[in-house]
Amino acid sequence: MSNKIFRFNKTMRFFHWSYITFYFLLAITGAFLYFDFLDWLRPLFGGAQGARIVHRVAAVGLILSPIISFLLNPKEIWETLKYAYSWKASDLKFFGGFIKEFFGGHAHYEPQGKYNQGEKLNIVLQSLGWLLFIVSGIVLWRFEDFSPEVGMIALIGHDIAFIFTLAYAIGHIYLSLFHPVTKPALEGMLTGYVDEEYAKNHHPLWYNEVKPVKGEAKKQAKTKSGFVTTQK
Amino acid sequence: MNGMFIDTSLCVGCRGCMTACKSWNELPGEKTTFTGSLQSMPDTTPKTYTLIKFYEHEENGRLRFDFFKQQCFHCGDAACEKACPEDAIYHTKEGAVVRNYERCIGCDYCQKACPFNIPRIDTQEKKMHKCTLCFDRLENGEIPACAQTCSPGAIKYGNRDELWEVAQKRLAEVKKEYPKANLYPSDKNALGGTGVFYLLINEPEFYGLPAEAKLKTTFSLWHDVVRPLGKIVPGLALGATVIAAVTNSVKKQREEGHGE
Repeated sequence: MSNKIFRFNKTMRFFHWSYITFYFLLAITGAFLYFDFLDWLRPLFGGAQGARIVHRVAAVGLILSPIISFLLNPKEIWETLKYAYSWKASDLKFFGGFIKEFFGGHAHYEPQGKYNQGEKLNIVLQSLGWLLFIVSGIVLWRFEDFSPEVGMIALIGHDIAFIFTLAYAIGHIYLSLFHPVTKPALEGMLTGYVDEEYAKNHHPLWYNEVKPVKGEAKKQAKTKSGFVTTQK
Repeated sequence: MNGMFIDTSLCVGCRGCMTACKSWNELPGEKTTFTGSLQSMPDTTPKTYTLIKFYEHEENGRLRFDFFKQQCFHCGDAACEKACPEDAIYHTKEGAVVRNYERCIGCDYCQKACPFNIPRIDTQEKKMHKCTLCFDRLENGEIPACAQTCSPGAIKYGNRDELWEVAQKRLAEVKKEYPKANLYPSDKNALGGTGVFYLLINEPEFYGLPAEAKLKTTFSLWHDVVRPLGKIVPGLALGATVIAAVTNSVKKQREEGHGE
């Protein structure tokens, strides 16, 4: 049995699963207004008016999920965001290799930290989407109280947030459930631990900081190439 | 195709049209407050489909009343119909833009899309209401209740092309007294040809109307760009994952073949 490396603490796992639960409730009830082929699901939510209520209740959950996670462990969330929003020009080279590997090719990447550039982009897009969903959603919540111009702009904002977060989520789900190379990462989000082999191959910068040292626990400290998570 | 021509230069502000509308559509009266003007109420509501707006102003030391009949334009190219996510808004064969009561969920997209801010949502009932051009009367060969009742003949209903000719002639006459008079929409084919058009004696902005009758830019951006992207982009993402699933499984089979 291979060794396991601790990657996602309870806060991150709570955030991830609570957020996507609300996201998918919102995506389905929202998509009723977009895609007619989902109409058969409507009765599950109590028809159109029931779906509107579910959408609002889930919206509260989506707003609170990152906030509660932040309150549970401010350091972890803050460090993750800081890390995800730090980019240098050479980071973009990652995506060329990623596209090759996505379709089954073989790619060489620069050594990656705790999150690779694709995961960083996911965090950036989803967090911007979260903000855009909320700002535009407040207008849509009390739609009748807003002028038509503000209302149209809010609709555009809500749709744009939906388009790019959904597209990225589709890729994310495929990578975590089916893609042969990236599948092992899912375990990290379920149990907190990933295979040592996976960590070494995919996130070598981070692995070098957290790898078990014979006889003693590695001192947990933040370094320039990534950060080490605490087991909270 | 028939149409309605509202000649505001002939309107005397009697509000007979409002009463006829309420009567035919079985709409209740609504409480309003006195604001120092003869204006009956500030705006149309889910229970008031049409409203004579009073524009009281002084001209050469004399008090003037100018009138505007607020109601649905029944656009040929109706933004509300395009915006409705439930396909609840449609054109009758007489050209009236009407709402299917069962399908409507009261989402208010139509009001946001309308260039004239006409649809009204009953937030309790969660349904949209607006002028129906008395489509039920039209179906039975009658004319709309407001046109039927208008004593000064300011509301005319009939063949749209002929009424447009009438409107042009009226405009030439009215211009002598009201130099700012204009037809609204100024273009016969604006918004796909509106079922209702006006002769105004002031600029459109005087009545709070958009200077030009056309679809709103934000609506076009949403309907023609953002909404299609909403189907294309997630569709592309899904397509890419399907292709990746195939190429990855082909690769796996090949590798297993080499292993043997």
